[in-house]
Amino acid sequence: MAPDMSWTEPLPRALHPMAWWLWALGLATAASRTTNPLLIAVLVAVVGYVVVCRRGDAPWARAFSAYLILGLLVIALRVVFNALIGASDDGHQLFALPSVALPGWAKGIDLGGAVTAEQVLAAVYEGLRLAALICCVGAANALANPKRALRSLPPALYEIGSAVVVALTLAPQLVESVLRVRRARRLRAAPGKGLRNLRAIAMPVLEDALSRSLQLAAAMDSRGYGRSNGAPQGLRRTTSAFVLTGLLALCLGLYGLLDGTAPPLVGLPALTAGLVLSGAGLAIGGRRVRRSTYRPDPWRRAEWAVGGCGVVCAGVMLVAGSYDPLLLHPSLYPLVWPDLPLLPLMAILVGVLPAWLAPRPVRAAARRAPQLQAAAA
Amino acid sequence: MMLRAAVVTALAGAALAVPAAPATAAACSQDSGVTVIVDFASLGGGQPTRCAPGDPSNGIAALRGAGFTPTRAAQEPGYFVCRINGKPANDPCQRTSPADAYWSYWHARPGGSWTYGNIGGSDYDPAPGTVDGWAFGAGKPPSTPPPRASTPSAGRSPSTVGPAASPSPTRKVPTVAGTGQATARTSAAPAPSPTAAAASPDSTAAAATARPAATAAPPRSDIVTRSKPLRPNGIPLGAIAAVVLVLLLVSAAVAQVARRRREDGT
Amino acid sequence: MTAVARPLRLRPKAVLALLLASLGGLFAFLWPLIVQPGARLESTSAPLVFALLLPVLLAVVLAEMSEGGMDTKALAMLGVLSAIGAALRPLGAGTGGVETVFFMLVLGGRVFGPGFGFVLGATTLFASALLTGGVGPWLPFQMLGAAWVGLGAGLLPRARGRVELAFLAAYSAVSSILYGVLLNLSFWPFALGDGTELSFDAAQSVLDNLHAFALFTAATSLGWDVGRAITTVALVLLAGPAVLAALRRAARRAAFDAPVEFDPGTVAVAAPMMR
Repeated sequence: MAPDMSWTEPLPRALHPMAWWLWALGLATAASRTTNPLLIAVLVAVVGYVVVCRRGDAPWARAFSAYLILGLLVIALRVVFNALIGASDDGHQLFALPSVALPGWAKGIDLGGAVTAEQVLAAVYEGLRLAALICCVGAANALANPKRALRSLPPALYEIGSAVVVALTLAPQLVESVLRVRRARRLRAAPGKGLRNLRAIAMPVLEDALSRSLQLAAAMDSRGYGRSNGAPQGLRRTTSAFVLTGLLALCLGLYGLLDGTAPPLVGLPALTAGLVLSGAGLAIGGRRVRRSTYRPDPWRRAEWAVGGCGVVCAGVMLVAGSYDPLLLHPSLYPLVWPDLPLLPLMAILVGVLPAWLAPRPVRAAARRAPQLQAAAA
Repeated sequence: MMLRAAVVTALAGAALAVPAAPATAAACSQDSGVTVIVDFASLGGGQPTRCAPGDPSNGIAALRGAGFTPTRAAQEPGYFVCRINGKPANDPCQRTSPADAYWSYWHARPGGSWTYGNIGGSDYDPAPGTVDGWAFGAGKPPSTPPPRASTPSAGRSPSTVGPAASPSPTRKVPTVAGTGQATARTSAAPAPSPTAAAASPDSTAAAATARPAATAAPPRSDIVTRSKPLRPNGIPLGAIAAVVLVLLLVSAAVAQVARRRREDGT
Repeated sequence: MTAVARPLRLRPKAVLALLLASLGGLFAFLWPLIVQPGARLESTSAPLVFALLLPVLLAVVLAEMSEGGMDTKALAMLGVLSAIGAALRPLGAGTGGVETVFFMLVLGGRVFGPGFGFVLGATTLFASALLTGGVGPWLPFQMLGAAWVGLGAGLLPRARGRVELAFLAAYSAVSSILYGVLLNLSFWPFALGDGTELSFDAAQSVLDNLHAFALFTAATSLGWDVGRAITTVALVLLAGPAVLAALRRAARRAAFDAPVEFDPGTVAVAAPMMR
């Protein structure tokens, strides 16, 4: 990259993980509002393009292709199930499978029979929508740095978050530990493979990890970690009261939403009250923890822009859907070509803007390249 | 199957200005056909009773044969009736209707009581002489009891149901209980539709001729259309545009990946 | 039996929070059997609503369990065991249901008690999802399911030696299959859609829905669930004794029960044991 390029373009940095999640969830919301295969196909292409343009080198950045495969599997599952046991009263027959009537314990289902184009397309449309949701989630996983996202946990979950950070740091070290033990065994000319050998490696690694946990605890203690037990009794009681009533209200609300005959007050209002109370409990409980952030993630214009793209996309899609649901849900009976409605298409294309709005990710290879060139010169 | 809650929960509002349903009350005489009652009461309409002459092949054909126009949900395999004569207009007709606002299907013997139809309208074959009921709401039976057969006429075989079998205008008020207000009205124009055109050419005819001879055509069996060829509707411009767009994005992505590989390779 | 140290004691209030959150979690897992035709949650929206609500439930109950500050040694042990679970998980992912994560959960819950087991289940799955890029709407369900597995292992009756091993193996088998079935149940209406004869139908009776679900699960995920059960049982039987001994040794060395308190005003009194 030429050095003068850095004047026109912002310096590479990692975008705030929540901005990526906001963008991805916005696109996922948009995808969930439509079964139009054309719109969904464009949406998946948009998501894929942004991922390709703005992912880093971290191992999780390679997760996207796994999500694509998962999406294809979901579609395949739906099509197979629909072809085998779906209702195919009418429509254009594609082919006929041999029909097998299952016995009574299997609900007397008729396996096979005629498979119609409408039936397969219905499964594909619905499956595509689900696959698009999965792709959006996968994009967020590939683009957002999970370790940085952990900082967004509420302070009340400080200890749990710390344990997860420890786990994330130690997991790669475990692999290293396995290699070390294996090397030591080889130096001692220990017998090669087999279950016994596996155990001989695993146990030292486990012992090593456990004793490392004690060292870690001692180190944390000596650095004054967790000396925050001074929460006053009153505060703790308030927290518990909020949390417990909040949980109770949440359970009541869920029950009200699931049971059609429950009085209306038990449904959504109880759920909202539960959420508010639990949130308040978490907020108050978090006050006992005072911590400073090392290198905080900034929320700048790029973050606003990327998150905004997701919100705009979802908002326009919701509005368009409420105007004319037929545009977003193409008809299968009668079977017609789906249209490509302009407004939802524009909404989805807004989602591709982060490919340019977001700053380039920091990449080890790209950073190394100029040095190498300099060395070669 | 019938009751499944749909994505869009559009409740049937009472504010709907539903014009009074065309009610030409006429239960079939004896076994001359299937009597069909459609209960628009919860939509602010009446409960028209009509006769589908002959032996309709299934419940939907009977509904059509009696001059009603069912609309099917556009994405639901299996004929799910989401509207009858265009009502309720606020059902989006995508998938199944919500469980508290849908057309439920009922069967009865003449003068008997309603039983819920466990089989969908396109699968159930009503026998001539029985009564089919369609009621809108949360699965309650039609508010009128199944009518007894109209004035008994000499036994005719269903195949000969013709002009003679069709109730004459003078017989348009039979011994039907409970449809008084509905029978008083003559036929307003029901929602015209190409499929119903053959079945209800009487919509504009004067003074409630219940079933003219033309409608006694053989029962329509247009539900199962397996041999219909796949025919696209015109040039799919939208699909072509979408494919082009997707290809553009994919090739841009591939180029980006290649560039990145090159960067990493150096 | 030697008194085994409990790094994360459950106070009565935490127990109450745990019970309430578990009730909410049961709704989330079993909703297809509970939901009624006129209900406001529908088969398309329910999994998403629960995917948004479960994190709140989990956050609240985990916060309440760690309220008052967690011992550093417990925290470090939690981190290490979660790391082992998270590192083990990719080993078996996708290969015919070979799932290695439950093994550590069951043994950890057994040694360190129900409260620790619950938190360990949640953190293991969370860390694993973060490492492999597996964060999604399914994660809260997996976390809660795994947390229950750890909790249950801590609640097993006291036993030692072969009897304990038999208990643990039986529990591993049951919990592995239940976990898979519950996860499958909560996403069944969503994954299959409607329109097939194995689809969820709110209007059908609970038994009919269960019947359809049983057939669906037998046709799709039961193979994986059985594979997971076999793997976990085999691991527990083969490596269980050694790992249990190692964990107990570590617990004794950590001496979780020893109060580290310098303020003479508030001497930490060991809370009554949960059991």
